[in-house]
Amino acid sequence: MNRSFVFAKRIEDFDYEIPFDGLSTCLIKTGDAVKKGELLIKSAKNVVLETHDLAKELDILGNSAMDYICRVNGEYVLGDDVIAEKISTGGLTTKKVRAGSEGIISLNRVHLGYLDILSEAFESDLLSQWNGYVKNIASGDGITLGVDALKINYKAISKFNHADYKVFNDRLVGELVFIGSGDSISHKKDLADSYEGKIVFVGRSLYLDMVAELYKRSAACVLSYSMEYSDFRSLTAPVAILGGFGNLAPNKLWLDILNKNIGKDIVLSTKDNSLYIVNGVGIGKDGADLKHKKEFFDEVVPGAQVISKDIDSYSVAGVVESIVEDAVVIKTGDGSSVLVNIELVSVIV
Amino acid sequence: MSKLPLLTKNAYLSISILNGSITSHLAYSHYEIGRSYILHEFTDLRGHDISAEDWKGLLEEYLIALGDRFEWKLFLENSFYSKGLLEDQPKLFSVYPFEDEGVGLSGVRFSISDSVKEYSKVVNAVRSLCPEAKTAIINDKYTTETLNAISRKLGYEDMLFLDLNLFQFDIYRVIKKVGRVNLADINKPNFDEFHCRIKWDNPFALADQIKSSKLKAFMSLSVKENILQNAWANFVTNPSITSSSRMLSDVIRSYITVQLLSMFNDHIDKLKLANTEEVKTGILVTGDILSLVEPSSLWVALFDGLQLDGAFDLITDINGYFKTYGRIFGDGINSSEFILSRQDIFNDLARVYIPTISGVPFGQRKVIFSGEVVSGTTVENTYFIAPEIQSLNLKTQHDMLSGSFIREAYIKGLGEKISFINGADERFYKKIIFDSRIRPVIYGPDASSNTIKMNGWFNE
Repeated sequence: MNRSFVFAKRIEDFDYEIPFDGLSTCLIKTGDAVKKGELLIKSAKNVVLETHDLAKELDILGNSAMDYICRVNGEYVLGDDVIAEKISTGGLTTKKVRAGSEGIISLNRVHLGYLDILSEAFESDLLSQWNGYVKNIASGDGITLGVDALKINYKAISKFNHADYKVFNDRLVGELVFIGSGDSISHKKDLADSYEGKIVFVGRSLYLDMVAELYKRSAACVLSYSMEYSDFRSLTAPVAILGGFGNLAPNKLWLDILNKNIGKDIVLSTKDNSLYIVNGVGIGKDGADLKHKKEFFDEVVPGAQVISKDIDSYSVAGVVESIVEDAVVIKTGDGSSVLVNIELVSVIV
Repeated sequence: MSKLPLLTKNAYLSISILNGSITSHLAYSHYEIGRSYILHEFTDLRGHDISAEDWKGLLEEYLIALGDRFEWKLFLENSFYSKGLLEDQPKLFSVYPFEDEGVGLSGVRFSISDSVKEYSKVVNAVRSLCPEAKTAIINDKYTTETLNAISRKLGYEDMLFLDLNLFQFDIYRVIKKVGRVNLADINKPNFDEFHCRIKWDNPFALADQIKSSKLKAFMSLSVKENILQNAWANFVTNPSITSSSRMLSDVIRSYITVQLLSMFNDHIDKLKLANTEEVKTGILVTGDILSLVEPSSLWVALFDGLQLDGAFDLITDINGYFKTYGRIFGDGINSSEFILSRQDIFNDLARVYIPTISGVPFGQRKVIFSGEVVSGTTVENTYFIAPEIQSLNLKTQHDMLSGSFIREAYIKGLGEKISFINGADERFYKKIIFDSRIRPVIYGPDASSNTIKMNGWFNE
């Protein structure tokens, strides 16, 4: 009997948590309905003006960066001030890192080898990006909104130290952005200057240098459709794999749903391999959710949308063209056909 | 005198819910006309996250779909539910009383493994959906008791049960106690038991094993490292019951060998076969990875992993009957549910001979056994050659094999002569397997050497 593959499931009352330190001004209270565009919090905020990768610039180990910094956390520096230096060959040579902009030194990521220069604080309004209601407000813990979300399972997440990244209640949060069109491999030249607060979908496959570049640009998390398993196991930063291991062509389902939800907030749970698109748009017609009568088992018939777990055609998805004895012919999005044992396909519902 | 109900026409459904799968077997028998069969349905749940709360909905869909798959009327419609009305009412599956082939059941049994996450909730879901069904929890005690009952029924004094699943290998053994039993101990089990297990809780830990030199030592296909790692990781994170990939099959064979060898080395004294003429030994093997390897590959993995020798019976239970009908079979005529014969479920039976050979120089091929096979009126000379693995398919239920070993070869516990009659002791074998490889079997130094050796073992 073939299992169904529930690609996306609507969760009507999902807990979405916004960090709230109690110092900012909260303009809502528990029970309030929240609409998109509504003002929620007034707070002071800094932006990152520039980031120095001290490991690269001084040729040192990232976790020893603190030993070479000659400023303190929060210190105001002017342009061209020396912020870090390395003395070597018995004092004969000195490598210096100078500030490119004037701003405030932040050592929040120094344990990863990064030194940031922040702008002065300015008043920042947090406008709601979501429709929902206020479930709870707790200073230090955050504001919990009840929102609807689209839940999708991803394949795997890398092993990383939660304390080094902004993980809150086993969750990573950020706004979904793409690099490129999403169906090819991304390159460094495609990158923006900063990905702070963003969850970045890189496309078909991901290589280790790209991971380093994205985290240097303060990405909250990285999504990739596939990755070499050996690279994946060597990661120490959060990377979620959507499809599988190797260099797999992303199936149309993933591209469609992520494309439709660019700019939406994503909550990625590190515990249960789920990602939640807050107020997500479904992949059905006009953004509706797929209607399915059967959640767990479905029959493989011509015309059914299926996904393969055969090793030789792993994660290939398409429509059943015909059934030949104990195999199905799947027509994929790019027009090609694949023959797969009928027991190795799941019906997408 | 009217016949017992169990001996007239009868149909019985048994469902086992394991960690990662559901197996259903519907047994039908009509003893008066000698018609009996078992319908089989396997559903792989691995790679899908199922919470305890999902089980009720899952079982509802499953039981309805099962009737369609078997083309059998299994359950009555819920008296509280009718199409179009009250569709959100909980379903109740009352067993449709048995009427004839294709219509109704005499009973239903659910066996739920204690390795299923929050299995007590699964049991509750089953009981609320199908209150008439019998439920049993498959745990170590249940398995050992079932194995003991089966060993008595099949006439083995020593029986091993290998449950080989991707994330968990279990070996159970029961050995009948010999000698006098004190009156005070009359109610205690009359067998010695043993159990060992290897379990992988983290799929990535298992996926990382592909880099292990132990695993690579047994592999016979040379594949680029990254292709192998990616394929194995994809398989482990989303396993399947079948595959056309030769690469995967080779990895699984190596994996079975390494796991069993590790268990054997940790418990040599408990897993070594007795190899005496008086003790009949049977090995029953089941599990979700059996269908991923060819039978000949499975033999090599078992014989080398457990360092087997001597003579024993090998029962391959690829359909998982041990967990659905094992207890019922073991109860025999005392069963109140259904009566099954060994031909119904444990019919993939092979007689295995692994001789000890000292008179064949390493690297040479020599005949070590000469004999004849009598099948009906046909008599055929047969030879077994070292270092090959050969199998002889038995054509009838009364085939005979007799002959002698030469070149200082012999079977531990049996000596230099073999006299085998199919059907003696009511055991009907499908084949005889002769493993005449010189011990110790040496693999390596690389995959291509293993390919050459394995081709030589099977004379390809």
